[in-house]
Amino acid sequence: MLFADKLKYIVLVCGLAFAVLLITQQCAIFLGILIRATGPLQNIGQADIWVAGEHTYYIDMVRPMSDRDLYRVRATPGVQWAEPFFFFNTIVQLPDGKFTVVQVIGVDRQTMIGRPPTMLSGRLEDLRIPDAVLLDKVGRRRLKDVQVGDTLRLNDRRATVVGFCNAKKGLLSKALMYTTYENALRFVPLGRQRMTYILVKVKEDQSVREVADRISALDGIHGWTADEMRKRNIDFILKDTSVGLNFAIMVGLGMFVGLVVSMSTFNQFTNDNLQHYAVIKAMGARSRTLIGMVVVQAMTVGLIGYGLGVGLAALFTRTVRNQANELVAFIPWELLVVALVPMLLCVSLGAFVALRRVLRLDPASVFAS
Amino acid sequence: MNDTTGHDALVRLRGVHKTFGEGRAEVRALRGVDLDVNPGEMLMLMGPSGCGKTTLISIISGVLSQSQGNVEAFGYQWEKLSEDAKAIARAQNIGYVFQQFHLVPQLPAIENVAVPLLIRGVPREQALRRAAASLTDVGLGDRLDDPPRQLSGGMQQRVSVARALVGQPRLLVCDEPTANLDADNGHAVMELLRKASRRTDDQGRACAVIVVTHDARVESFADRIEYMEDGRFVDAPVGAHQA
Repeated sequence: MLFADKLKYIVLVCGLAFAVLLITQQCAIFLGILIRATGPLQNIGQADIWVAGEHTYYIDMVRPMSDRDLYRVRATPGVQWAEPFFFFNTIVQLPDGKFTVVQVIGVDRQTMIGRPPTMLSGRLEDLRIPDAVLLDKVGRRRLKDVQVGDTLRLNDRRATVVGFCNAKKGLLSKALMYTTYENALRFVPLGRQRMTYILVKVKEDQSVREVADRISALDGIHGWTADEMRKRNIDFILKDTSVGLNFAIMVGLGMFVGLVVSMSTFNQFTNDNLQHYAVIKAMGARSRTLIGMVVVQAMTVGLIGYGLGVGLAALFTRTVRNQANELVAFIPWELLVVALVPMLLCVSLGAFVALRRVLRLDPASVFAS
Repeated sequence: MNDTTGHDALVRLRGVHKTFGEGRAEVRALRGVDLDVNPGEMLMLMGPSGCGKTTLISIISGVLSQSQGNVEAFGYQWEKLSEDAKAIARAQNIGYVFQQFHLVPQLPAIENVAVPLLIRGVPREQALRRAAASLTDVGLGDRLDDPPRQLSGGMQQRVSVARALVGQPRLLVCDEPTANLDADNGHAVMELLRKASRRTDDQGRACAVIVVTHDARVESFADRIEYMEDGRFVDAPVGAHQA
């Protein structure tokens, strides 16, 4: 009956599709933010342990350490190697005089530990040239499409672009600028406490957990395994920012819209057709037949709305990715299940309200002319 | 559902009372009604509004329970059946024709007519085939795919009759079937109903037809007319035609 009532059918499908789109898209962006929060960690696969000042909660919010801390870590039993890693935001001046924020990443000159995962143009070895920097592809766009050989200025120091790379950015990153650790210290002078992170590789016969604990036992610094560091970053976003709450509110609004639309439309539709349900009941339809009628109609529009909603959300995510946009969104298959649950809840509640009226209907009302 | 009475009457009512509400709001709709409806009979129930006609056919149909008395239909005592068993008994034995037609506006005529068969669980293809035959029987074989809005009032009531007859019911319950029709269409519908009462099903069983009406023009179609007033049967009023 509902499918033939085109207006209500379309309103119901559109309402549910919008709700599912809102839920899926917001969750996808939220997941994208969580993944992006750990972007810099994903770029570095060589290190087993990240060492930073105590009480470091997020990769962009760090209290630098001194060279002495590096020596202490290197002297810790079980450590195969420990290298300084520089990670700090600063201002870069463009050739046209404008400026923007870049994230300067300083890697060890010899081992290149912390290097970008993929080179797009130029050679990694060229980073050893004095004042040389590599830019990631999004950074290149933000820096007005600079070319290899162009010169930039950072804190009154000259930096020469020697190539471009691909690397995952952090949540607060605008553009990534790779250089050697020594260059980084020149570009961003921090004083005596100048080492943001120490990357540690554990000897093969040693437990990463135990070595991390040994490092954490040292005064003023802490060692986190790569997994712990990722979790710490995600926890910071979830617990110490209102990002999670804001997204939860949006998802809640999506559910509310879906619920209101499905319940009110179903209720209206049921009211309009009560007499027909009464006739069908009088003709001998059993309760299970009536339940089946309502549920099939509800589930069909629900699944069509769900399909449209996740389809639009996927289209949105694809568009965002294609445009290499700042906005990140990620739809794993688990999210499709997560979006299905509130949709089923909305539709089930709508159907439940409708069913209560239908099942309580007095078939004798068919004779009331 | 094996509570067979063993009587010849298709429907048998004894001392049936029906009361709505309680205390000062109490309304006694039926006051000790006795009635037999026999197979092959066309019974007309007449009387003023509020006299209890609709309550009576509701109780006969099993969609309303009596407050007191005994109702037997098709060998079953309605009050002893569960709601689901009543529904099955209605689906297998009763066809309905309503004053307002009550056709589903979004469905074409053939699907409207197929509804009682689909409720019984008849496969869709077979149900549509039988619905087409039933519509042809009422002279609408060329309007199978038309939705109700494209049919005149008379045609809609014929679709309603086709729907009532498609399952070969043992009892047709008709509530003011001609009230919304002009004289010609009313006459045509009553012809169809009388024809139905003269017909037997695949098992040779005749169908009984109960018509509730105010329409004096159709009295001549009845085999028997019962007059009601204040919830009970009364003698025919002066001037009324007794068939």
